[in-house]
Amino acid sequence: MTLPLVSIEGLSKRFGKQGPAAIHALTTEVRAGQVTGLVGPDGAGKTTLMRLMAALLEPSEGRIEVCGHDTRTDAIAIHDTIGYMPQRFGLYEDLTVIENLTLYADLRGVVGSARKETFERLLAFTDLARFTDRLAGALSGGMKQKLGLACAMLRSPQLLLLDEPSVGVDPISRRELWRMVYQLVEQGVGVVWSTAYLDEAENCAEVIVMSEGRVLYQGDPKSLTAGMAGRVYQARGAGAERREALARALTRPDIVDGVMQGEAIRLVMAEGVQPPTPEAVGASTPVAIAQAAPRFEDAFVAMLGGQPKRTSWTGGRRAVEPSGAAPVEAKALTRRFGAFTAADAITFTIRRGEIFGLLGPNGAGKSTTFKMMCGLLRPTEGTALVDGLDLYKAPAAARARLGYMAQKFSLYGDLSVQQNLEFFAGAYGLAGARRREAVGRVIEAFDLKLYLEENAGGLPLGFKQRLALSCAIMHEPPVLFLDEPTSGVDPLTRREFWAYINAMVGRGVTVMVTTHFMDEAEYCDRVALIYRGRSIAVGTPETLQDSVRTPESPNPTLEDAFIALVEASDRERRAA
Amino acid sequence: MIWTRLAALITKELLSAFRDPRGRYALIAPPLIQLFLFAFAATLEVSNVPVGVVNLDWGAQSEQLISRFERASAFSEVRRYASERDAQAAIDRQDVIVVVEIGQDFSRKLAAGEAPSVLALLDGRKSNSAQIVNSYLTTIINQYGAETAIGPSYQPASEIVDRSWYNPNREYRTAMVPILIATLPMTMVLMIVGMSVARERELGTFEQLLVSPLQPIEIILGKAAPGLIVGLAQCVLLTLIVTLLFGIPLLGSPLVLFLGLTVFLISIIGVALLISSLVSNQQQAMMGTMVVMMPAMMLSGFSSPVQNMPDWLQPLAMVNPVTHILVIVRGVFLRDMPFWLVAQRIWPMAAMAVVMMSLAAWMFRRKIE
Repeated sequence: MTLPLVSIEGLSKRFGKQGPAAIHALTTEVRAGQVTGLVGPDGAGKTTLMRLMAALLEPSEGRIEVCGHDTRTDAIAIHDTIGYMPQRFGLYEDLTVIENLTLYADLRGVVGSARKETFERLLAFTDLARFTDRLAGALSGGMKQKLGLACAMLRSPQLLLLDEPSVGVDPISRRELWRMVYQLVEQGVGVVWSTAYLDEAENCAEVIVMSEGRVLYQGDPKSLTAGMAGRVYQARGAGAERREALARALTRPDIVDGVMQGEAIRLVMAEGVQPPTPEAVGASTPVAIAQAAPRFEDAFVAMLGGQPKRTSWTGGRRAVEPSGAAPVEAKALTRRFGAFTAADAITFTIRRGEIFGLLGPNGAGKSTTFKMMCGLLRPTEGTALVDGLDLYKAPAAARARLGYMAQKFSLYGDLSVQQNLEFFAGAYGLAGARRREAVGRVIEAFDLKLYLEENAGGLPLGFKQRLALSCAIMHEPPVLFLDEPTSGVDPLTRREFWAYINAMVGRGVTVMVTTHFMDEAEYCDRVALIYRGRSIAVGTPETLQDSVRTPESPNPTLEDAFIALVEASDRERRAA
Repeated sequence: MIWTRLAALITKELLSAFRDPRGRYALIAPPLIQLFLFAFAATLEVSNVPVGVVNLDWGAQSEQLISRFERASAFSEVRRYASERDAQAAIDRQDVIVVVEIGQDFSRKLAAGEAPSVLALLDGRKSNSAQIVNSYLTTIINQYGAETAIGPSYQPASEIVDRSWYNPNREYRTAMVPILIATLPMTMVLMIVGMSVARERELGTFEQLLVSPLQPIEIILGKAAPGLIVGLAQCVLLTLIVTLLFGIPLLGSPLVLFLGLTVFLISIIGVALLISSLVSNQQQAMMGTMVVMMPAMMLSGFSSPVQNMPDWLQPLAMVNPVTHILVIVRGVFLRDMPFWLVAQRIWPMAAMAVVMMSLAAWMFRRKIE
């Protein structure tokens, strides 16, 4: 046992005297030489705790000692011994990589020969030596994080606080960040890594799981996950019926959690019940059920009491009428910005009632493609069709057929829920009785009644998400476009959201989603992997996983497949 | 269909402007505060200023002249200084902006029938006020000279009689306050419309609008109409205050006045929309508004007549909608400006409105595609 780097006792933090506690009665320790994960959804209090540890905020109650200094009295001493990387990098985007480093070195008093040596070491460590003259604003998400890390490392801190370092970072860069952090840990540095992604918890030696300012779990993530052994199963073979099967399974009392995993359904059983039978899934085709290795997320959801049981959702009145054309079609979509080709001849067709994912690292052309498909960015060449209508030749008619939900729920925060609904209904041309009927329908379907008079900006996250989805589907579009719909959302809210989407898909709605979040990708029937402006692989999540299966990695995850395919594409390009 | 969508947009804009109590306050309070500030604080009139006097003369005549200064309503008091050095110090301290120095021989020369001279020291740092004070002094001194002239009575060859038309008492407030009816709503409308698109861009709701069946032209109309409604409402409120509270009569037709104001506001909204089509966040929109507002005011004849500007600047003043609305407001308020004259000022604003709106629409379309 090493001595704790940070010890926290009875810590509470309130903003404003009467405000709710952002952190509630927290007692914990952070040790040197390991990664401590601070895990929780947006708004859990992670950033507040980080800032408290960095002595940037004063606790309302209780005390924090960092490296033997009290944060109230010895803030300066703490600032000298720790490195803190805030969310959103804290970089100056108009300065180059080396200018950013120099600035932080000046601020932290790293001068003379020590500076030269430190820069060399850090640039080699972060592999940024080739990019020293590039503007920080022009770096990819992953490279920005590496530069942020380098800036935080200038004084060789004993404790490194990383606030959501993996947000906006693609899986490849994320792995590199973890590799770098492990190297630091080996040198004896204590690292606190905060994240909303539960899969990262498994990389930590110890986790503090938070939700709404309270600690749900502290300790070794592996022991929590191990406790779930024998309760997790995968059901395969339900085919096209798997979404209904999942919805049915979730109504059973002995099943606490269930998600889609490509072709399979992942089920988590209540404690001490029999394994699920094919009847529980109740598909017309034979279903094979096998035990699966538990994940941290299974344990987390089970700890929260599983998914809330609700009667199956009836969001729409009728099934989507099939029209002759494919619901979504991209024909050789190309977009050039000057000499740079952001999207190069991207072609795909989405079938009716299919969830199609656009996957890819940041800056690979995923967003460009998505924007062209939404009618937000005119393609240089090629056509984007929705229900057979060209988005750029018949924009109004094509747009009337699609529903769109932006990444950060684009709602009018200063209007009430009712007013938001009325506005979006009107914007889609619904008037009179049709509008009343549409608004009434979504209010009922999404349980918005209690919040009608409240400002959209003040809604709890889950309700914001419901409202955003309601606004996007009031005009009953046959096609729904979702831009990273559930990043940073807690697992229960995410499951609820996908339950709605699954129900709509069951009625024949076609969904296109962009994501670099592998859990979301698992809900897709097919995904297209976009890299360097080209679509390098299209297929079901399972085919992509199969394509990279090797003797060394017999059970690749979707993330493994993603990384392997991107690396293979890089090799190919270099060889050519 | 199009009316449903437009109505939804306009309702939404008005709701976001008025739902929040702070928003309501921000729309109503600043124009009122500015109206009262301009009416009472920013006066260019010279009244109640102290006058410094250095009287080196021991005769009765100089005291008579000084008592005339004391009685003049423009001056609050007469401050006496013993020497020119003291007077200089007073000007340096900005106690007075003018010092009148009466020489030792003032009374003697008057008695001898000669013309004595009086020195007026003015603070050139306040050139405008000093000039006005100087003209007051000159009038008083000339009158005094004419009345006390001894010997053959002084007969000027001609006499100037002045009459100020449209504002007989030359009251600053009567000339100044009505034009605020146009300029104050202008600043508000520039801000509201210029920022509203930028705010939606920041919130991400703008993309949401762009993927809806709303056409760019509908979005522009949906942004312009609420601005016009709010702007005209402010014009009505300010007109009522100006006529009822300040008692400045509206001599011309309110209909003509509001026709002018409507065209003016549309042209201003065009400018605001153009700004908002160029910027990507609220900060830039604010900067853009400032960059437009100052020159628009300076080049309008608001503070100095357009005719005083150099020739190469005057065409700019002619395309500036503010120039024309000021002529209309002053004209309709202070004299019953005939409609054909008003129409001559309306069409350049209408032309600007068309140009700005089209430019904004074109920019929006280009940005989207």
